[in-house]
Amino acid sequence: MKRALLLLCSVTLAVLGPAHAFQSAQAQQPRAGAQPVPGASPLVCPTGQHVLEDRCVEDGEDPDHRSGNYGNLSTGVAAGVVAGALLGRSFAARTSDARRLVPVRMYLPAPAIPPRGIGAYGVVALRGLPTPATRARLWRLCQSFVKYLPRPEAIPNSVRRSDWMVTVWPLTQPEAAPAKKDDCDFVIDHYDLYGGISAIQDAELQGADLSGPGPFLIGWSPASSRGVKDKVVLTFDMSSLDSQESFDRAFIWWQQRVVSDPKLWRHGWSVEAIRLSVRDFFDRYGESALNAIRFFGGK
Amino acid sequence: MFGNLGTSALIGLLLGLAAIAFLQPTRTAGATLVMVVCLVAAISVGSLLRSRRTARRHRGKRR
Repeated sequence: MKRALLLLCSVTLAVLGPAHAFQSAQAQQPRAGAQPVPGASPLVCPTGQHVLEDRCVEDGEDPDHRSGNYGNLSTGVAAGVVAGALLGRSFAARTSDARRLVPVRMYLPAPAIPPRGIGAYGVVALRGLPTPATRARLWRLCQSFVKYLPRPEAIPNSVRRSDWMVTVWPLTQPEAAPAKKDDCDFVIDHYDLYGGISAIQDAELQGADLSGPGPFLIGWSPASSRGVKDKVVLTFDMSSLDSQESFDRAFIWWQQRVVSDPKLWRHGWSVEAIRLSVRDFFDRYGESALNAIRFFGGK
Repeated sequence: MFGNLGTSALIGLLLGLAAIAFLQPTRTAGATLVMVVCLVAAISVGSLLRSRRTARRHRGKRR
């Protein structure tokens, strides 16, 4: 695409440049049979001739004049090519900067991860299936996943698959009807645990610190960089998040910072992650502290 | 005007407000706890600094 734009701009300007040069060269020639301008050369040449140094010469006869035309022509071509190259390059650079990854979500079984032909991908990684203690929290996580990332069917055909940033929820039965309806109870109950644990292990292999209980968002860009040492793996540790709003914020962050601009990928540290963790800490323990005060206060 | 304790408390309150603005707690209890923690921290740091300063003055007088 970049090369095509570059070529198009070069060709256009290479054609326009000489055309302009040829026109200006013709404009310099006095028209045959035209009246002399007062103060200019008094010589009037018949049709098919033009004035050159106070004498009439045949059009196209004068080698100097012809070489002058070719000089203009070649200068025009050169200028056109150079300007086209510069313009095309800057335009192509601008369009490539504008090209961004598009966030998409998918349910996939562990063996199908990563999906083929995509630009980058991430995994919602859990350390375990839901228990009575964790069910509500994982349900909230699922809600954020469903509400903040679009399904592949919602992506128009004009967006190439290689521009997708797929966030995968590993699922044992992705084709089941409840999964297609985004039923969060089904989705968390049928989580493909191997998909989650292997993603955590691969991220740890690449130097990420995922010692918390999870869940985690783990991303690789390009998709082939999974498990490769020294490659950047992005992790968002949601171990300390609890409220729906915090999970929502986490996915907004994932969508904005990570999916839209992979240049910002780092090894999992972010002010937003810390802010959300501290906030949920205060929310949780603030409630407990108030309950304790109420208990001891006798209310 | 407010005394040392008052100044520390004022700093703590301002710190608490800033922390609430940054953290944006979702529950009232969370915001209350943030404020309490900031107040206690500011007063503790204030008293610590004061005690150090007084200790230094006493040491100077002894010499």
